[in-house]
Amino acid sequence: MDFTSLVAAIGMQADPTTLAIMVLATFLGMIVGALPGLGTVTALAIVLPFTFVLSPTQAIGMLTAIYVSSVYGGSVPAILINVPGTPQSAATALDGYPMAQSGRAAEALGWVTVASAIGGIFSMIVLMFLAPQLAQVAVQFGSIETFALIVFSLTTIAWVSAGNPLKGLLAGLIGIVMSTVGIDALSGVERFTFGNFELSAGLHVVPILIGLFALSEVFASAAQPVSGVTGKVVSAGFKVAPLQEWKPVRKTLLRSSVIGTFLGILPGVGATAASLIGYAQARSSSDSAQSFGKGNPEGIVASEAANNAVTGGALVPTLALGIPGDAATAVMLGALVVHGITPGVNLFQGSPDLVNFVFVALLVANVMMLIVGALAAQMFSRVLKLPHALIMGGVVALSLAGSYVTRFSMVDLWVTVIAGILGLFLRFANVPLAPIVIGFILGQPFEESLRKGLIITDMQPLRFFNSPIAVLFFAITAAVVAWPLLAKARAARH
Amino acid sequence: MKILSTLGCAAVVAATGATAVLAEYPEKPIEVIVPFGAGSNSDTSGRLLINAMRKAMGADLVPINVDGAGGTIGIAQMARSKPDGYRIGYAPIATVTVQPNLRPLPYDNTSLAPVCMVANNPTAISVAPDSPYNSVQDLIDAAKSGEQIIAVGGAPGSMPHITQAALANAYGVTFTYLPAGGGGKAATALLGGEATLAADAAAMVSQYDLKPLAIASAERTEMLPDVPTLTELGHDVSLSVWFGLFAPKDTPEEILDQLSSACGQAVEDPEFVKGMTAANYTLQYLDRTTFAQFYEEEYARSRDLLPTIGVAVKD
Amino acid sequence: MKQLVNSDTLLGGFFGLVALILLRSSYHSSDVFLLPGDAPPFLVAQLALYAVLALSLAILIKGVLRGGVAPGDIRWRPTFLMMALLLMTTVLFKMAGYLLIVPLAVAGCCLILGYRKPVPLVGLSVAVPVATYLLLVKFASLPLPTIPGLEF
Repeated sequence: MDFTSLVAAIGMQADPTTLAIMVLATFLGMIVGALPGLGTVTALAIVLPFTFVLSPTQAIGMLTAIYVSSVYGGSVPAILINVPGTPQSAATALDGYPMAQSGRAAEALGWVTVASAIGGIFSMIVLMFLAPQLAQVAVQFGSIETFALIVFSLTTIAWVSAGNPLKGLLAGLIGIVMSTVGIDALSGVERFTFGNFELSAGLHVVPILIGLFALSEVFASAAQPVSGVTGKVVSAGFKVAPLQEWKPVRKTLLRSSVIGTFLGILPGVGATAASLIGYAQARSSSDSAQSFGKGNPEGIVASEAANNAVTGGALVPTLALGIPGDAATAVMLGALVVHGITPGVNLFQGSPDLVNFVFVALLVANVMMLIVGALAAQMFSRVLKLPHALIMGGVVALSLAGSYVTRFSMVDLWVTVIAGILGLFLRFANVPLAPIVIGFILGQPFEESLRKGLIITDMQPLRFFNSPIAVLFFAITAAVVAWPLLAKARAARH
Repeated sequence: MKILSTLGCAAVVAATGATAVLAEYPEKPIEVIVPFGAGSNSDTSGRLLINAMRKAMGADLVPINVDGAGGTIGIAQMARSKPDGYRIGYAPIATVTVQPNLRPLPYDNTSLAPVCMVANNPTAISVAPDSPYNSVQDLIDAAKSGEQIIAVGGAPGSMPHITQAALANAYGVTFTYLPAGGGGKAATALLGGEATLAADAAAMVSQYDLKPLAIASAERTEMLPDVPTLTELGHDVSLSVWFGLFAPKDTPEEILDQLSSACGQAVEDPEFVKGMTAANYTLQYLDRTTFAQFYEEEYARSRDLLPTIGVAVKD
Repeated sequence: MKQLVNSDTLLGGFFGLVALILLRSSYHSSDVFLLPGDAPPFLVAQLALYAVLALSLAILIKGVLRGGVAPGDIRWRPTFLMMALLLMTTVLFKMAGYLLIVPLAVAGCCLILGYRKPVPLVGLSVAVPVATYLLLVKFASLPLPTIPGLEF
């Protein structure tokens, strides 16, 4: 850690124009994240043209601010209207919405904002001190190791199934099948496209998410009148829970931050899976697993700390190796390259000022998110005061726009509406929706890593066990699956 | 005399009419479809070109990312658009030559009107910096003695795939191909020891600190002057990745000319050159007619090449 | 005998049927370009579909034996109206343009949900699509379908 360059970096950050740009970017990122259907990648793509005319430090500042705040922004509609603004906040809705329904929206926003900031700052510290070393770990994760990791991640489906293991598993499998639609990248074969060319690009998670969560909510409101929160006392604004209440969740906070950072560093898993896994882990190790899904702050904290921790984690391979950690950092990398900044080993040695600036910018971005979020949350929770029908109308407009601009394809819009209808009936049949999202997101990397692993081992799956990292994850998976069964058997004996 | 002046008037009117058409284009923003995701290789260079062309044309060009299926979704959308010059596309070689020859697509070489080419990046055969192989011959010897040599690159049909197959074919061996992805993903595979070699952009060598063994072209490249070409080593494998602008066929000639000349101005723009050089691109400009001919040659070449490396050509 | 047609039997029946249809379509594949060592491209999909089939049958049987879940009182007419509204909106989306069809959809949605006050209704139906339009099309240059004849 070179402190002189760190001081220089702080100096660069203190430039008023850069700070102003970052504040604006924080606002913008938050708004874009809060609009269902426009995710982090869209937010970054929106400002990408602007970064070309800014100086490198201003561009970096802008991009980190948007990156961080958009992930947070997605949690706002998840809490207020059960519609995740970004896929990364899908797990936040599980406990955030029930909390808002019981009149505690302000508290929920408080939990989310602080947890996001803590997760983000934790990963930034890890990034700052351990980036080159951790990048080497990331490189060791080849196809076989990734496969083992994803197998482990898939077991988390059980934990977001809310007591309906059979139906949760069904939902997860449906997600996996949906992920296979389209042209198979490894062979060029068209799968389940039924002759439709646009379908050959496959389905995209954002339209599915909007349909399953947002539109099904609209349909559900039509089917069964929602009293809204008007009957109860609505706590408008922003309320951070007192320090007492933070004590019990600090283990979850730490664990989720670690999970998010770690999964951000590794290729192939992403922030959405990270937040769901964080949630699932919190639930599985909680004494009051029953209270999850009913407004337990631990669920909110787990999800949001994890998804914001991914931001620092994903920057590890991006900065240290020049290899983007996820789609969002891929956009950031593109912007950096155009500015003549080529991340990688050379960057760390050749321009320590710039590297330190990224760390400082990340810290400042997280702090700004905290402040701006606290202020904006006052505004956001007033949305709940609108009549429910009007809120749903707004959701319709945003959903249609958000789904369409993902890829400018009518297929996505049809997927959204059909997923909405499907989502309604799944709700009636008591099928949890979150596992569909997990199955869909993990389906493609699962299949891809499996087949790449088979290619490398020449069709001999047993050779997967040659990799120590893979064996580790398989063992953890076996343990996670066996543990509850063993516990039940022991309880039955008594 | 009167006839001449009338004819002269008519000519002036006709010319003004034609220039009026030209003067009207572009009267609204031009959509440029980039058939890969934001932040990707094609996207970065595409946006740089768009910025420069905006200045050259004094009009607004807007990048639209339409990702999917190796770039074919985006280009198919562009090919099916109205040929009025308000929707064009920016594509790399494989999307418009290899892919249409590989499987049935809604477009082929007759659906596109080439506008200009802006870059032509050489391909390098590279290995990890700590790899035991120091020359192409080492790789070939290892392959011949039965070792599994794994080549990494993008999806089947992408240039890294085609190039490594052509290389193996030239030496009479086969490599196992691992479609991990281009750029960063391929580099990860190399650095992590999962793959042995990559036949990808020469720019990757300096970007990820790899060890180059050969360049797949006829001449050495300035980027890596000490690296021999495959031609020097005795095998004529010359495959590079070029990027160009395309419009739907039947787009009026005047519009194509306007775009092409704007493109020509754009490649001279110092900001464009700076950005592309920073991204390690090798600039090469071909105007409309030259590019059209070049494109036809490349299309035929990929068609002929595929069967020789064991890939069936769709018809 | 509990009600045979209940949520579980419908669920199991529906997904079992879908799984069968998809499985059938996955079995006739033409010449496939497979990299050496690669698994057949439909392997994972087929395994998942078989699992879906098995689970659907299990849920179906459970539904027959133990009855389904009662979702409570459902107002079917507004539900189907809403679905029809959104389906029509999607059909007309590209033809009519975003700024024409979506305000109508929003208004329709609020009306179906029982909201009657005209001023906030019209206000929202215009404000949200216009605001979205300004942010996406004007600020971010992400095009939405235009109303035919007009430029926006």
